Amino acid sequence: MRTSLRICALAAAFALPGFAQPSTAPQAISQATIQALMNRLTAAEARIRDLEQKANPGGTPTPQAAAVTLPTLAPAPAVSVAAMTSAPAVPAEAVPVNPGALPTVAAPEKDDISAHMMDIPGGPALKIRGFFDFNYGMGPDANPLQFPLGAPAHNTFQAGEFDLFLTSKLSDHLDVVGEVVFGWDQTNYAGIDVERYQLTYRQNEYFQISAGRYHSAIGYYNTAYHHGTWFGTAEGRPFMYYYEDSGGLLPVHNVGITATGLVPGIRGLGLHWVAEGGNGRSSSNAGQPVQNFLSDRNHKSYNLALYARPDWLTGAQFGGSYYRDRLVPDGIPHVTQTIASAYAVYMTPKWEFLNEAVLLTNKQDGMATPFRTPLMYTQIARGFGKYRPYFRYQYVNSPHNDPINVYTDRYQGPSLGLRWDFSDFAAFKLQYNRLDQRSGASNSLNAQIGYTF
Amino acid sequence: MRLRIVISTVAALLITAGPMCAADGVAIIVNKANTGADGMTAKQLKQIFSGEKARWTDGQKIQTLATGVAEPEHKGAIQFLFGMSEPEYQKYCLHAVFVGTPQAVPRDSGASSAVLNLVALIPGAIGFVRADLVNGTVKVVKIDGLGPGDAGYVLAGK
Repeated sequence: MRTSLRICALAAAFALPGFAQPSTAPQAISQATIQALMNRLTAAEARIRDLEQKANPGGTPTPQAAAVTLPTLAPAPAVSVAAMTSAPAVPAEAVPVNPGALPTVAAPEKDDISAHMMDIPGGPALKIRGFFDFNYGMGPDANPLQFPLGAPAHNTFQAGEFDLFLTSKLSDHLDVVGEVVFGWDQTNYAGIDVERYQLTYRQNEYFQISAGRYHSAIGYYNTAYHHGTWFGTAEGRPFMYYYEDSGGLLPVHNVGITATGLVPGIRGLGLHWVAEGGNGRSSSNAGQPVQNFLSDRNHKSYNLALYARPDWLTGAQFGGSYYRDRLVPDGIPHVTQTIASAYAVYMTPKWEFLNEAVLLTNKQDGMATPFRTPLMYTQIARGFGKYRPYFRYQYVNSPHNDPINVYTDRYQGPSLGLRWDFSDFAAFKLQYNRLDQRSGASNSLNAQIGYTF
Repeated sequence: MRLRIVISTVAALLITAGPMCAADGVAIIVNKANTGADGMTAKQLKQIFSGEKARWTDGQKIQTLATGVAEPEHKGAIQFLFGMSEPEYQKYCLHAVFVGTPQAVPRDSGASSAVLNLVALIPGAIGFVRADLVNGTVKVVKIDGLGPGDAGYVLAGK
């Protein structure tokens, strides 16, 4: 019995070390292998030094190449990055390294801004993308941004919109977009506009809501295209969607709340709803037309829209909207403004067919007949590889005595153009415009380079 | 020296492209627990990847995943699912973010192996990977009744 116990104890004594070392443990790297690898590294670094010397003859070697000298290998020295930059943490006897051979690292100044961490681990990260367009225009209505120009037109190289688009995701349901645009006008001075600032909460595909400054869901183009000219096939927006401060008649921007989502339970129709409430446009045409900070009335504008993307016609979208506001201009009766829109659009990678019509009505209190402005355009384009010819016809007829509209004339005519995507992220566009107004007709030609960066 | 570099590069490209060209093309994969993705049409698949269909038939939210542009299957899959070239697709993705419809773009998940792992982990996920990478952790979706390796499969390799 005692003998068998001794045998068991002996067996356990031999077995335990083996048990403690699992069979899958990595094999220990021999000292010779490590030394061989270090030798190869030393040789590679020497070669880098040689190459740098050849590339920069007579120059001083780069700090890294000059300073890094591999130490002779001590038994299993554990050198971390922290140890490399923090002398007291390295026991002198553990790593026999000549201190002069180590790369010198300057201690950060207390007021060094780069020493502060701007990143929030796991937090929002700001992303920026830029857009710009540069033009050459010949003719009175050649510029793609502003109409009427308000000054005699000459052949001009012209800066377009320098657009910085910003996004940041705050959580799975929350994100922020912003668009800061630097733009020039006929005074040649640049102005800065924060064209969009939206905080959006996305609950699911049935409901999302945004607060801030947004593009009104009037028609199709206004929400499909914003300020990055590079996105649009043509060189500029249709005249009916020109910005408020560039001669536009519609409240394309609004400050308030916009909500949208898919209508549940209607299979195959892809029906979406949009509901918006905001400050509306300023009642006066003097100054900033978008009421970012101070509204000139308590009444808020509202806009309701519906659109469908049916399963049976991929690329098609049909929709309409109804907008209502109450304007209080100085010195004249107040005005009820309504805007009704309808559109049919077909967009595929190859084809683009846009058709929109809007009726803008300004009804002054006490007047039986409202002022009605029909606005419409149709645009067709087809892609042939990097080339995309397009045609647009537009019509806007604003009554000459309308109390609200900035532009009171007829704007009618065709545009014919060619877009050439000479790079994946840059396009050249050449567009001819013919414009008929009550005062007469004109022709213009505009060349544009639009790109993202 | 230059010749050696060229030969090495060509050899590396052939090795990289080999499985894509020689094997079964691209597979559309879903989570193994997904029962709503059996027997899909090409049109349904395109609607899912473009965000027009947001939920599976059992009500579960669809999470679309794409490999990065560097992966060999990306180009063919994007051409099939969106009918776009790579530059057109990049512009489309950018535009979707620009107009506030990021759901219209599948999430770029980088390497094929990452897509495979994410689809295996997320119940409502759907993605595409090289067919020869598919393992038992995911389920392959048949498109119009055909899968990788079948004659007439729309995402077959060259």
